[in-house]
Amino acid sequence: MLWYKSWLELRFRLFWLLFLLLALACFLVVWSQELASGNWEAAQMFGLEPGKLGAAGLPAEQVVALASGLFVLALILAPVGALMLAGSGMNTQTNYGMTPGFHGSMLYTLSLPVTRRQLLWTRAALGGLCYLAFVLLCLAFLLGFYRLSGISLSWSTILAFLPGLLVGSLFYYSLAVFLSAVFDEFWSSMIGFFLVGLLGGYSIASGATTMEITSLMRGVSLLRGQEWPYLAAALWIAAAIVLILAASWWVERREI
Amino acid sequence: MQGELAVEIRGLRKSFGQYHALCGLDLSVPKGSICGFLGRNGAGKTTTFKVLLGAIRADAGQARVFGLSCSERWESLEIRRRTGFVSEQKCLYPYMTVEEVLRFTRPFFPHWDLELEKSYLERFEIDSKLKIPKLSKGYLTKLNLVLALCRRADLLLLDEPTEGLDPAVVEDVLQALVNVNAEFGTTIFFSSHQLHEIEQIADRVVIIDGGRTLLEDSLDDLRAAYRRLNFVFDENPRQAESRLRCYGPLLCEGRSVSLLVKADWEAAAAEARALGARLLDAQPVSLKEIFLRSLKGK
Repeated sequence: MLWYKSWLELRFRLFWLLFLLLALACFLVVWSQELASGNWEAAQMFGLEPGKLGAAGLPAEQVVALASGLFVLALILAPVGALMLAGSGMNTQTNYGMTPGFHGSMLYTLSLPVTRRQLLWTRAALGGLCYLAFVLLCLAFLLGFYRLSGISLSWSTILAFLPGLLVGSLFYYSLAVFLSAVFDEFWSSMIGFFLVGLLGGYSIASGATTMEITSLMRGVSLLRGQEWPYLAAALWIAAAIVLILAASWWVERREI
Repeated sequence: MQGELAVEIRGLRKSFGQYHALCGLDLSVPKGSICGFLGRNGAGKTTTFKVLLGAIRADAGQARVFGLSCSERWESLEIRRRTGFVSEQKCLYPYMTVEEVLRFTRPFFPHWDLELEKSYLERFEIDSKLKIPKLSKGYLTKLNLVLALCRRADLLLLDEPTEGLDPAVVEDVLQALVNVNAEFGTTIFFSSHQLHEIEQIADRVVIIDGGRTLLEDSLDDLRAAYRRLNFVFDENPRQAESRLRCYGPLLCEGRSVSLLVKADWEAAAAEARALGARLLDAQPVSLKEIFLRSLKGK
């Protein structure tokens, strides 16, 4: 029944994410007008050079559409989705009220015949499944929207960007699980948003270098016609594994 | 001997930074007994419960429940399978309704009694569709008790189980505890500041303070050991006071003297008579007086 508890904890947070999806839709509506006017200069904002938009072997408008959509996905939707859906199972979460302090029901949870690892892994797994569904939904939404706008992106084109997006999402989710294991709801959210802002800001300021995470998620290397960043992906996967293991270690050691 | 004990604690120590919550606690709770756990605020009662549940690890010493170690992961899991717990705060999940909490908890306990659950929900007038945050403190306490009682546990650890309840419901709850003990042999280890409740149902008492046990005995033996002796002196008893103080706490009002004595009350009465007192009576002592005397004696 840990799955049941995890679902009850998660369900209202999924509604918040639908609002985020709505925000994506609004951005895309506004942005599609820019694309329709052939505003390739704006591609610089997404780490691309207007003069080299064809490097990926795609038409310029598809490149800019992908760059912009994945930009929003990588910098906002995926990280925020991770922060909202991750949980450690031990700390009770409210309906994203960002409540400070640990809820007293944590002692009730620990009085039940479950191990702390069961609590963590069940909650993290269900949150992870919901998160994966959310990321894929966002990607499908992006594809659907651009197709409706007349930009003919194919599934195979989109799927080429999926591995990078998933690796980055895995990292953000692991980070969110770790934060929720260590801190209360308020501080795990605050620190999480701070780190997300830091990583996103660095990505924009640095001009989207190959190794940093949002470049990986946005598929900047692919859009620039460069080789897929295997080393970067391996490092971020390793970081994700370390964070999850650290979360597991922390919940075992934690005293209340 | 170990097999006859539901709870056994030896030399338990636990510190939180500079604060020493438990300082070599020793206590035993026999199987099938109802044991009252008394102490001032901050004495270490809740910390003791948390150690027994495996929620925190002791720094030193041993804590066992049914012979199983509270500090070993898998044994602690087995302990919690056989234990029902009500915390002092009584907090439950704010995103669940009453029915959802019950539905979540039931599968953990194969012997869960659905009939008993239904009867308690009716008796305590708990609406199963209500969300947890909508429950008053009293109803939250009642729900916690339902969650503990229906799992047919071998041991109930209850931290202030009747706090916030009206007298009629307190009576119901105490009766339910006595019934579950009599019918199923469930061991009950509960803390309460309502000493009359402990006197009403407990057959054993443990008093702790500063993380150490001050007193541990059966309630009947405690009552037999303590007496309040009331004397009257013909003259000012000032001289007699200093001689009688060695037997226990003394209260003087004019020529009347009241002395709380443990064990050797007959010797105290004989000495008081030798000093010119007339013994009025030797009354049994309430648990409250024993508790206060234990704290002063420390």
